[in-house]
Amino acid sequence: MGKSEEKTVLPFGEAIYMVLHSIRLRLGRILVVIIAITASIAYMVSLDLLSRILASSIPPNGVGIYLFLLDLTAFIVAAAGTMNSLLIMIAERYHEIGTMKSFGARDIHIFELLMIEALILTIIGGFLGYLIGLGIGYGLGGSGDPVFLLGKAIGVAVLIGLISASYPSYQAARMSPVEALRVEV
Amino acid sequence: MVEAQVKTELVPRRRKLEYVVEVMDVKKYYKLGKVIVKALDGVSFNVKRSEYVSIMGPSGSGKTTLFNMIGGLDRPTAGKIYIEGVDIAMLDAYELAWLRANTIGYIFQTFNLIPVLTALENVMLPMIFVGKPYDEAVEKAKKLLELVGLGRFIHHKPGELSGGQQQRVAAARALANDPAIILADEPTGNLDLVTGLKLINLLKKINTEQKVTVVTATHDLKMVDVSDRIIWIRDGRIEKIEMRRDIEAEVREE
Repeated sequence: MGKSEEKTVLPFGEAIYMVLHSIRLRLGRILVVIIAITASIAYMVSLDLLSRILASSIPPNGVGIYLFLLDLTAFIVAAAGTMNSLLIMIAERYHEIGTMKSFGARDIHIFELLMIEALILTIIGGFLGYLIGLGIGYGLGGSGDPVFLLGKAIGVAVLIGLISASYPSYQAARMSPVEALRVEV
Repeated sequence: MVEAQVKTELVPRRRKLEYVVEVMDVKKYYKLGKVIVKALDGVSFNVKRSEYVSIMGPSGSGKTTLFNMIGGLDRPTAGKIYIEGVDIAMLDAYELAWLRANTIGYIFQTFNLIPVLTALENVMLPMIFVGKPYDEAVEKAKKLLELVGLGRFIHHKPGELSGGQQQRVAAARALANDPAIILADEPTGNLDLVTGLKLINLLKKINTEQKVTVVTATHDLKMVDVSDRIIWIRDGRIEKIEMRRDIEAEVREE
């Protein structure tokens, strides 16, 4: 078609600027997303630190499974809570999304903006959760490798962010401008 | 040879266009349960370059549906819409986004500014989407905000502006990429009488000074005074098309 240069764009720096701006100015509304992640990561980290104490009362061959199940619970609760709050956060922005699309934003731009925002929120939550979990774990006399746990906490938080943000972001990104502008929240 | 001929035929019509918007027998049907609702039932009209056209009709008449389709925001069930000679039904997602960014400037009833961005950043947004260099975008946005009389409010957020001011920011944003058409859906719907009148005058000023075609969907009768033509829609069909000079003549006769 020879039209490949006629493509609307969203430079990455601009996307980051918009996301950080949005987070800063809407912190009150999106705190719930951060809290969901924070609580779950704190739960997971503290359990890991306390695993040796917990394990002492469980038959040795069941310890691994038991800890895995606890981690899994933390993961599912975090993913469900985060997805729920992200769905609400994104639904509140349908008008904004419709507006951006009517001025040239493409689906991928909307998806990118929402995913970046969700990832930043979950990383913040993951780090806060790590600190709180560390405090609780050590406070109750647990022990473990803090560096490994930091990696695990952030890794799990990012994974939760990716999983729970992709569906609502995808759904919002592919809405037509009219649909997005018509929604009353 | 043959191949070349076929190719030129496939290229969207780019002749010197008299009409910016061509609406040809457009229909839009919705299925509501077992009933088919005919929101638009065969509407045809053209809009000339630099013309100011108002689509008027009661709520539910189909004017917003028509407006959305002219803007490429919705697709018709049948019929064709050409914007600048391009059949918008033939455009893919990329081309449609490009059209929305460059050829059309929207003004909505609810202003629809991005709440976390300043007036300046809101006006810059469409320019960012077309890849305009940042500094140029800032300069252009400042000029446009001055044009709409908001030179002193460029760093205000929408929440810090009155409804009339927000709608003027929206007008500046609509002009960001020098569009061929401004589409305004009930632009005065959320404004009081005086600010509504100011906005209408601003739209007329933009229309005459910038030679931008303006199409509004409205039931604000104040709009009649500035429109070159009024298209009355009722029950998804064109009831009548009036030229303003005819209306003025009628008034004089009475």
